[in-house]
Amino acid sequence: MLNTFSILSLIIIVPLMGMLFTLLAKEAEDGSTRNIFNVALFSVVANIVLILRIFMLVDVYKPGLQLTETYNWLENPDINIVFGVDVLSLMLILAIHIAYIIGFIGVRNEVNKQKPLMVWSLLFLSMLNGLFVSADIFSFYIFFEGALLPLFMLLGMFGDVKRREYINRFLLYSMLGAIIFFIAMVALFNHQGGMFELQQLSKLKLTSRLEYFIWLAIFVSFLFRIPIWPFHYWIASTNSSIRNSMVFLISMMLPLSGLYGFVRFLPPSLPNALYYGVMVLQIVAVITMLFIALIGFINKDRQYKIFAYITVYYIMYLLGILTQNNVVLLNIAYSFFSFLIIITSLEVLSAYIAKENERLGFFDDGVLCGCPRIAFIYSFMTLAAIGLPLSSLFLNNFLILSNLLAVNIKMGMVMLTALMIMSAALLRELFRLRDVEKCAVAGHEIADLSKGKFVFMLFICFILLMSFIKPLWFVLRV
Amino acid sequence: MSVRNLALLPELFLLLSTFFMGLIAKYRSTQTPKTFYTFAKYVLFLFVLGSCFVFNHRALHAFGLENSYKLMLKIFLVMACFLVFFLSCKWFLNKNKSSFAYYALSINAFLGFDLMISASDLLMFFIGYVISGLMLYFLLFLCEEDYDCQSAQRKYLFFVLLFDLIFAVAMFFIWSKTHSFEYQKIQMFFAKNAVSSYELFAVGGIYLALFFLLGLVPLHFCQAELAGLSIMPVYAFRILLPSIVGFSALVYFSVNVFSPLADFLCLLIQMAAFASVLVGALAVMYEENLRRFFFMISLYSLGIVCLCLLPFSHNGILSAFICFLVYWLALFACCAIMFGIKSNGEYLSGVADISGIFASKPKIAAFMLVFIVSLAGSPPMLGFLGKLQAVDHLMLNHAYGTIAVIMLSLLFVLNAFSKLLQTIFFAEKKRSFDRVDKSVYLCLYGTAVLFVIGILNPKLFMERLDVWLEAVMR
Repeated sequence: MLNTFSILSLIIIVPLMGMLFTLLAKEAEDGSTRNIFNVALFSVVANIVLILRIFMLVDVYKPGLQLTETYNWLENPDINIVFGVDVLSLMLILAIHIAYIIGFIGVRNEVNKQKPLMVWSLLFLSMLNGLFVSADIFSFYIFFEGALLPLFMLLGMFGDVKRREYINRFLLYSMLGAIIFFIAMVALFNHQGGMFELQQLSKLKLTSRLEYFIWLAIFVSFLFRIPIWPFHYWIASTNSSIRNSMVFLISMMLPLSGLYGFVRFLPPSLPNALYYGVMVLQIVAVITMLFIALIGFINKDRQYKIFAYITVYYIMYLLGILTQNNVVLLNIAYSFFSFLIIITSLEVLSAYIAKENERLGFFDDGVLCGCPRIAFIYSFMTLAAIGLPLSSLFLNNFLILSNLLAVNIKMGMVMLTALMIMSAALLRELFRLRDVEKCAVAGHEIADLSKGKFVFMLFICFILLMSFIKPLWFVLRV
Repeated sequence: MSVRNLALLPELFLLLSTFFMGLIAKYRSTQTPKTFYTFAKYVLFLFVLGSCFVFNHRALHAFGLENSYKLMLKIFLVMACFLVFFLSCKWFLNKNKSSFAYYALSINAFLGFDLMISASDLLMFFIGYVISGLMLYFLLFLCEEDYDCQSAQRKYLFFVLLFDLIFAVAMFFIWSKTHSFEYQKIQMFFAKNAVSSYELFAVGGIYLALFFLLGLVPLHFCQAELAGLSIMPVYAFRILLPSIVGFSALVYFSVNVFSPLADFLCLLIQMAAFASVLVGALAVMYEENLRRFFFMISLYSLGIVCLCLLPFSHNGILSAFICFLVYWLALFACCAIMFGIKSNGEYLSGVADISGIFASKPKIAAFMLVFIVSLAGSPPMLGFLGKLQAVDHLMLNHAYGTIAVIMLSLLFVLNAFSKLLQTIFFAEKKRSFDRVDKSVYLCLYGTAVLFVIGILNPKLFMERLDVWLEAVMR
């Protein structure tokens, strides 16, 4: 049997090694960056193999963290680093890796700053992997804050250079959240006389003052990562300036760290300190959701529509997590798997269309008429995104929403409205891109997907379809 | 001859080195900047050998017995001095200037630092303080050609003499009460007798002199001015070495000499440290000169280190030393980077001068990123360990206000770092940069390896730290 002692560490180390090899990889004499691209892609694919192996080693139907590994990092103060996974974290890790491959293929032909893009992306991936396998508060914090540096560099290098103050704002907002979390962590550490595993968090006996401070600090720090009023400021301003699909996707993965924090830290029974806080959060969340959905509907920018769609879904997942229902959590994991793949595909295709249009001086209307491959994939992804039975979003979102409606019908109705507005926005965009009348008038065509890319995207569609049939279809029991 | 009579050998080596350097400068026909570097290197080597040979033998009563604390500091100081000399040599070679004055004065300043570390009485400490203060002043004569340094030099000399005087008056006042300069007797006197306000003033005067050496607020202003005017080797020497001696003396005095006045000392250090943290963090946001930028960062970091010390508990001192080591290493690396940033033979010092350096010197930019993130105390870099130790200790002491101030100032510092990183990585390149010396890369790779080891296995560094710090642990 495989020694499971280091397999979880490996999925953090492999992207780091990939990053180092990418750093060492050289551009070809003709300026081609294929070497760099291949090294980066290989490290992500290698990690997927490892993740699938972990899926085989764990019992996906067993609750709680499995394959736990412990390292003694420091003796004074006594700090252990503990790693462990469950089906939720594994699904998230796998989804991110698939999204990375789609994202990488989307930027394959971009020669400009290919190396820094790949290097920082891999570092970010390593940090996210670390976050998802963290089973103790200390390692969680390390990766929670560690993910900010690569994102800061990516936003700075690939965002709009004229809007530097946004990058500054992003860093300060995110760091403020991390600092608050850090203080809460040290306070808990001192109270307990040592670090502890996340699973024990809900069993801690805290004084009422400490309880208020700790829970509020932890939750506010997570909220700084989620696009929700009044913490959303940095997200909207930075994302509007990104013109690189890979960076856009990575920046949209950061809120995931906040959401995952809620999953891991929220105790089974809501502490008194959080009772009113959660109530306020739910109200603010649904209002933000509706507001963003409306802006997404009105706004003409396709990237903003995708951003609005992602935001609406993140808030829905947040509300689902706040219900503290294990079934909902599991459905969120399954739903998220498809969600991430869909938004990545949409963003990559959208960026490709925008770039081709910019190059040829075309408008969006009817631009997909002459390119059936893109049209097919884009349509598939849009229809899957709005919840048609093409991916796990269909059934799992149904379960999440039904649960939310059962908890609070008013909140659920507002949420459904926001989701419908967003779906209408995406469908309208699809219609605009495939508008046959406009196509005939304009008579323009952009280059279609190559055969290889098309086959790859068909494979992605196949994965989504399979996830609709059975979310864990790829798990082979050992 | 007994070993005891040879116990002054290390100091003798340092003292004689100036004379021999003078002879070399006068009589050797072919001399390059490397000549004096090589000589200074051997002097340091002989100093280390001599110190090992006469370990725990004292020639003068005022030197006291060696202990692990003094030994650790001496090793640290020698290594720091060697590294600064190593980096400076290339500067003089590039500029084609004589390095005689620099190495001669630096070795003498080092002698002063050594006396301060070795001392077991106030008089010997004072002698070391005066020697190092004057040598640091003379080093200022080697200032940048484009600047008029005279007024800054005069101001610095005034403060050097003022604090020498304050130290001397305080020391003799204490002597008039205790009839001894010895640390142990002073400690016993304060422990047994009620302390008058005059005595508090005297101790306060000594601490002010230490704050001046460290460059803490409110005595930072002329040091900050000089940081921008000094040539790179002098800047590196001034920012890296006095802090080691000043900080170690602060700890030693607080724990072993004036420990009965702990409450008063806490208040004094706390005020200076708080002010340093705030002033450092606020000033760094508006700093356009790279050398002053890192001086302000140093001010901020030293403030945190001093806050960690309080109330001189075992855990506090351990945390403060870890914080200090991490900050010092990162600052050293930043200094090394500044030695590597030049354009058309000119060493650049403006923040705007290095805009877009990432495009042509990606390694230097990457190192800058690593060490800046470390200074910010952000994981996964080593600086995080220092931040963790500091906040953990403060939390244990229920110093919530202090934590809030530190964390608030950290945001200001992060803002400054963010702007600096944006200039380095995202701004347009404005000039071409010269090839970076190998010595710079050597120092950077060495420090980076230490950082990586520190991140992966901090136990390796911290396991023996308790033993090294035994002399100052309560």
